[in-house]
Amino acid sequence: MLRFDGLHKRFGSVVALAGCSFSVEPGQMLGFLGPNGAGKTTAIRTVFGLVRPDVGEVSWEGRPIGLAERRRFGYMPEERGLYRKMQVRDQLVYFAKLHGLDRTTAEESTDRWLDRFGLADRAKSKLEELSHGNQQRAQLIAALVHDPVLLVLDEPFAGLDPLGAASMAAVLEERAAVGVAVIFSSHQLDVVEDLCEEVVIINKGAVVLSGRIDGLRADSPLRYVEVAGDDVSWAHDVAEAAVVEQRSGRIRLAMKDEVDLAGLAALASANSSVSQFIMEPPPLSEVFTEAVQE
Amino acid sequence: MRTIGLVARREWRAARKPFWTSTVILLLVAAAALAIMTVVENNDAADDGSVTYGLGMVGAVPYQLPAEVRSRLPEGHSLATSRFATVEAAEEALQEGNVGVVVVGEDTIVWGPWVSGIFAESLVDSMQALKARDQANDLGLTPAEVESLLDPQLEFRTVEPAEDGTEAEQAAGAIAVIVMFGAIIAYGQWIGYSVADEKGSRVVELILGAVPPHHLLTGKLIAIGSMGLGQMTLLGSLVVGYGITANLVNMPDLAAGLVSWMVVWFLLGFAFYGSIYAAGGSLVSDTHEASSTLGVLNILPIIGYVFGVIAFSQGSDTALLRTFSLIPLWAPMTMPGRIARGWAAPWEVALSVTLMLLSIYAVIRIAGWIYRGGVARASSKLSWREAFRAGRDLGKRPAQ
Repeated sequence: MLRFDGLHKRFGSVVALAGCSFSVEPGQMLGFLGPNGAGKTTAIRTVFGLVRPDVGEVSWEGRPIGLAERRRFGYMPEERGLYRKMQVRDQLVYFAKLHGLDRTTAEESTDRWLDRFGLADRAKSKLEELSHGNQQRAQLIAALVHDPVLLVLDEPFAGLDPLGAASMAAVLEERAAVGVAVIFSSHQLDVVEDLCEEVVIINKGAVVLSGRIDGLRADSPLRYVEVAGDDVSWAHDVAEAAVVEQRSGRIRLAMKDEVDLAGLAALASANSSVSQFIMEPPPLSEVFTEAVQE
Repeated sequence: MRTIGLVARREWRAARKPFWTSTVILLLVAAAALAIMTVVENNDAADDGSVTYGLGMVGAVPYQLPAEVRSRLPEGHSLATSRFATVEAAEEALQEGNVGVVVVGEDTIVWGPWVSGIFAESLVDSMQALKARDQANDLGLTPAEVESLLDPQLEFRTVEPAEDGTEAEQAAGAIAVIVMFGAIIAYGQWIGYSVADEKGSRVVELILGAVPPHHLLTGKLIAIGSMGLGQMTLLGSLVVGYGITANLVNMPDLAAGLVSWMVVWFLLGFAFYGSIYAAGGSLVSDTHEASSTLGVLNILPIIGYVFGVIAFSQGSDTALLRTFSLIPLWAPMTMPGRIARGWAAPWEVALSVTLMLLSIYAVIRIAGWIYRGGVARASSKLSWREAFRAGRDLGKRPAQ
């Protein structure tokens, strides 16, 4: 288990982390969310010894993380970084060997991942000769090539087209399924909602919300009601609700969860021929916005 | 150790092309310089390509000698003779380069510092032949018997250097300064830009996840330092090899000694300056910013270069030059020249090397902290103090 325990970090007058604590289990895929400048990257960099917390500790399986542990981790930094003028296969083999693999295993693993991501025919190309999407794939292979027990990915979906994002998502799910702990940050909350069961949301260096996504949504005091009927103009007169969206014959209302739902349904039936009446908790994006604005 | 080797091998592979390109250019330039030097030093070749050798004679030199030598010289090569009343006057002419060789009496040859192989061979053969004929006549031998005689024993002696050394030795000091300065600047900046490039491309973040910063730094120092050493050795071999094949009597000893010491001092100087340049490269956010930081660092070896060239061109071992050759910042540029001139006492060499080794230890430790702090901070340009503190902070045991 990777555990962030009470991390504090200050850069001069800037507080980057202010008591950040959470954990990720083997086989779990955790979404690590927060607005820009919330401290996500600083927290991630503590795992790899690139930032030393002023207070607190990052541990793996209950022990402080040293070089031996880090060699078993896979990392995809926010600012992508590989050797631009080095052949793709050569540098992936190099990274695999730096992480402790022998030459043969490193080459076999590199070839397998290049093939998996459709880059086998570009193995001899220099990195700078690849498209942005393919460079991103090569970057992910650098994190995967030594078969890590923990994957830490900072904005892995940024800049990927839908196909690229889908293939990356599939690989992450596959890794989690075989017991790898996966933690990734992202601003693409729909992707996070699709991939993860749990999220951690940080703001101003501290965790403001964490848990299962469905639980966080259910716990939100906000509810959405969507009504379809021949006349939905009545909804504008409901005092406890705000109209979020209206199209022909369909209206979406936002309200607190203590609203009298039965009364609202009766009102709808009385004023319209209702064909659909749905109540649902807010999406993750609403939960996120609510959490970081508090 | 395995990771140091992996880092070093990657650096070698990455630098393969520029290394061989620069090596070929360097060797071509050196070969051209040696060719020019030969012409200038011997001062034998005329505008029309003909070559004239100067032969000084003192005492009872066989009168047939000039004709015998001329008969052995190839076409286009001629001989000019000068007579001197005393050996001292002849040796003075040798030092001034007015003649290339002096023959004293029947048996003694005094070589100048730069003598053409063709001339030297012709002269020795001629004297051996004349000596053999004389002996044959005395013994009443036939020409066939003369051929079977052993070569006469000729005495070879090299002119002693004047107080301020031969021209070759005078040049050696300045050449050592120039070569050491060039090598340190070139390879120091190479490692500085390599570090800045790795930091700028952010690849260093991935590497530091698996490799301790001092292993990364050491791998780079070994790889780039060994490439510099390779070039220095090739260059030195060219110079010494030239001296041997051109049969320049004094040159092989002088050049071999100088090259050997320069190789030693390059290793010491590169370990010292390479660490400083690596730390400098780690402060910047990319290679575009590197030139200003590394440019400031160049001032350190430039001071040694300017002082060294001036000091050696004056031709005397001043107290200031002795001091410079003991200070680690400038010892790599000034001490090889002092050794080559025979000015450095053994205790001075020992002290200088000891101070250098101690400084290298200190610089590698401090530069290692700066490097660790610098490469881990990907943001804007850092000051030396910020990087040092960050590196020291990262090196501490995990906080509890």
